[in-house]
Amino acid sequence: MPMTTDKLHTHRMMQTPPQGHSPFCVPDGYFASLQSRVMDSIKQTENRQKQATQTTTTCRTSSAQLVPARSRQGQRFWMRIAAAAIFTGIFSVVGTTLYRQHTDDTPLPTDNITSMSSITDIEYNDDLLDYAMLSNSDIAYYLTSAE
Amino acid sequence: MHYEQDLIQRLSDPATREQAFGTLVQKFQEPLYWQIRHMVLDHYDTDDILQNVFIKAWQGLDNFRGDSRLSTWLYRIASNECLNFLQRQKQTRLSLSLTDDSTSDGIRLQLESDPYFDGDETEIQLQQAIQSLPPKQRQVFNMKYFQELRYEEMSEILGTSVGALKASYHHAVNKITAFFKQLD
Repeated sequence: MPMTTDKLHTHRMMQTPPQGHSPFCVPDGYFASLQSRVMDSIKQTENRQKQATQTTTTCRTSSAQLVPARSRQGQRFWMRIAAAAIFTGIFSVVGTTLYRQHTDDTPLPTDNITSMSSITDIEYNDDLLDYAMLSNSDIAYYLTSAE
Repeated sequence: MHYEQDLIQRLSDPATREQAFGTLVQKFQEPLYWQIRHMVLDHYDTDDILQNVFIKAWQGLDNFRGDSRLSTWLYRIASNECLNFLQRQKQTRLSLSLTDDSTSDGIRLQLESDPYFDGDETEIQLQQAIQSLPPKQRQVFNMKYFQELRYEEMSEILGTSVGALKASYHHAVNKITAFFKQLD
């Protein structure tokens, strides 16, 4: 099917640069007012940037002292460590308390413990502490001497 | 050239910078406008991008060392702003699952409803063909076909070799010609 005259004209346009008419247009007076609008936009942008800088400066000066960024990072790191330590401590205390309550309720096994028959007579917590403070050689000594 | 050197000198002097920048805007507003308009089609988008171009130019004045011509520098900023705009537009459409206006039908609808487009059917079809090109190839075509820039100028603006630009333009012309042939 042969190309229409219009399309042929356009096809020819592809070979040579276009002359004159552009299908696009602009509102009346657009270019006449563009320069003033651009300068206004630039001033607005600069004012916004100045305000942003001033806000940052105000926040900094309202605190007791300027804290360098690296120091702030260090402080955050140690705060995290402290928070982790606190949680660990809380869990340890709660866990130990629950464990002690549980073992207080359950009777101590007395089979094969000849040297420790007096354990039931004394407070368990004291024995636990005594046991914890014994060295391996001490424990071995007590066990062998009990035999 | 002497005029441009004088303008560059006035732009580098804080005392005369603002007035010189006004002159710069006056001199380059139209060619920059049309460079952007042929890429994004819509007048209001073009206006936004053009203002951003001049704002960036103002902010980058201290970094402009005069290694290139002012026009080359400004065209380069405009080129990057156009490509960034088109990329953002595409991502916004994808994220919102909107209809892709960059399709042929979308372009037709956009131009037919645009009060600042008074082209005939052939010119609508030409724009459909041009908008079907990849953005960078479209840019090369527009610069050569509508703005009649030399390949050497385009090479400075786009940072691409003259040979690559000639090949890109040649491929663009072939694609647009094929587009018209398939309409017949």
